[in-house]
Amino acid sequence: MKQAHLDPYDHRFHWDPYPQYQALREQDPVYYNEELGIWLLTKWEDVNRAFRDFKTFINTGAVSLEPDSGEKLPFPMFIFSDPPDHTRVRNLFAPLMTPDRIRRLEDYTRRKAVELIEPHLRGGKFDFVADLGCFLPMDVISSLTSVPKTDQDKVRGWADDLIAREDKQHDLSERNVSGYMNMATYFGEHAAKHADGPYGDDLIGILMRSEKDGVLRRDQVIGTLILLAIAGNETTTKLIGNMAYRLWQHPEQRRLLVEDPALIAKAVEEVLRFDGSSQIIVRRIGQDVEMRGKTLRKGDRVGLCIISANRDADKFPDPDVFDVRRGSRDHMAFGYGIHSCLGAALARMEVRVVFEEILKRMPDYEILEERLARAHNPNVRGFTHVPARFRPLPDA
Amino acid sequence: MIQLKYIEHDGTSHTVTVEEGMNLMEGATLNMVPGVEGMCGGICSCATCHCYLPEERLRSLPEAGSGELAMLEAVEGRRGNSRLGCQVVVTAALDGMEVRLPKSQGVGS
Ligand code: HEM
Ligand code: FES
Repeated sequence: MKQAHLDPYDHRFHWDPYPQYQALREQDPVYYNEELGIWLLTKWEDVNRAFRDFKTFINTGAVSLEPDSGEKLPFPMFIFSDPPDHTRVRNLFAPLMTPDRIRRLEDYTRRKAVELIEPHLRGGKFDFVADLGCFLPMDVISSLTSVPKTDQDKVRGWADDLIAREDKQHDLSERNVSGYMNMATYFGEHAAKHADGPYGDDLIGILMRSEKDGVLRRDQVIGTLILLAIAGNETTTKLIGNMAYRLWQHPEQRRLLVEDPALIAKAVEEVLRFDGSSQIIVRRIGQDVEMRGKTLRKGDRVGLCIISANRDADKFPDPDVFDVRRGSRDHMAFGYGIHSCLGAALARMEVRVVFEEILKRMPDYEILEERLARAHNPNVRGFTHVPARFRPLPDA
Repeated sequence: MIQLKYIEHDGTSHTVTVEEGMNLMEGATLNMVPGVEGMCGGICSCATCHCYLPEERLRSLPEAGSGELAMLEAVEGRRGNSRLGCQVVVTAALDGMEVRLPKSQGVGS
């Protein structure tokens, strides 16, 4: 049999990576990719262990696939740090991100979603990502960081620059770096503008108050704003596209949701498991560790292949069956444990609300498959274009 | 640093130190105490940090908020002294507290 191999940068691989992941799980679950110099863990149990054992699998200088991309950053992001520093910073924001608090954003999110959908109803054409997915998460996160509407396109453009990857581009490009620097300049000015308060009960308020109290430095404030602009945006955008695509591929599942919209929250969970938008999360080895007979050495980099773990038959029965009623909640689409996604409740709410409004208005949408286009980033998985056709509203 | 004693359902106990300002879930997960999952990382959305606190300490703590109470509805083995560890911030007042852990955190479907 051909030796299982995997290049997370290969554009072709992004269309259907699941068979290759399955081969790795079966043949070489603790796989070393020579070319990239990185271990890849593909089984649920191993990925889970790595998420939990934060002393062996560390975030300092890891997380994205490019070597050292975290260490080069002049504006530290708390995702690239470890306890106890990580815990201290994360805990500043955690109370804002609970489902209870996020509920306050639901009406706003719904209004924005409807505003983005309505203009297309008479035309009968709609692009899930280009017409809605790419705007909504940025709008909602911006409402928490006080980024004005007029600046949101700019910030999103830089976030796109930062994560864009050419086919098999293994290192950061000029475009990536300039996206980062543009965001740093913008958020530097933004922080300066908000430094003297008033300190509201939102993300920017907490950031600036923490700076005033000496808990955060300005470079950390800027790093956090950049982190939120990327993390709070791209992955949610992509999950909306992935959900549109998977529901279209499984019309009988879509019908269940049209008939019983209360199932939509569960369906979001299944899309997270079946086709999540965060593909690989990277750690660095903090102390030598043995896994399935191989030794991972201190300093090695290791990729936790989330989307593979979530298709592991040893964890999920019939893992390749898309079942909106499955209701498993221990998929790791948002990670697991101390670094688990801070925006998980927000993302879940946004995607649920979007599909509640979509399925009411265009339950019969058909995706134009030949015009689907993918974003190619080894970390973020999903489409840039998901064009669809549906029965238009009659003219008034 | 605050000293806490986590006691698993089978009686195994773990005495650990925790920094003030962290929470009871972190007190366990950062010290690798088994029996607390902390799956969602403390955003009050998984209920896998369920624990039982001594009554007299419980009375001195800020009450559980509506989000925590809603999540507690779903846990197995809920009792009058049940709390979600991630919603209880560790302060000097908790020094020496015993935190009892349930048999299962109900991870999975
Ligand atoms: C479907 C959408 C999303 C997915 C799939 C996703 C995925 C993830 C994953 C897998 C991690 C874990 C990283 C690690 O273990 O190192 C993470 C962390 C994080 N996410 Fe998300 N995310 C999403 C949406 C959001 C949103 C809307 C926000 C906005 C606030 C956000 C903010 C963060 C932050 C700040 C972290 C770092 C947490 C830490 O290191 O403690 N994410 N996300
Ligand atoms: S850690 Fe998830 S609810 Fe406490």
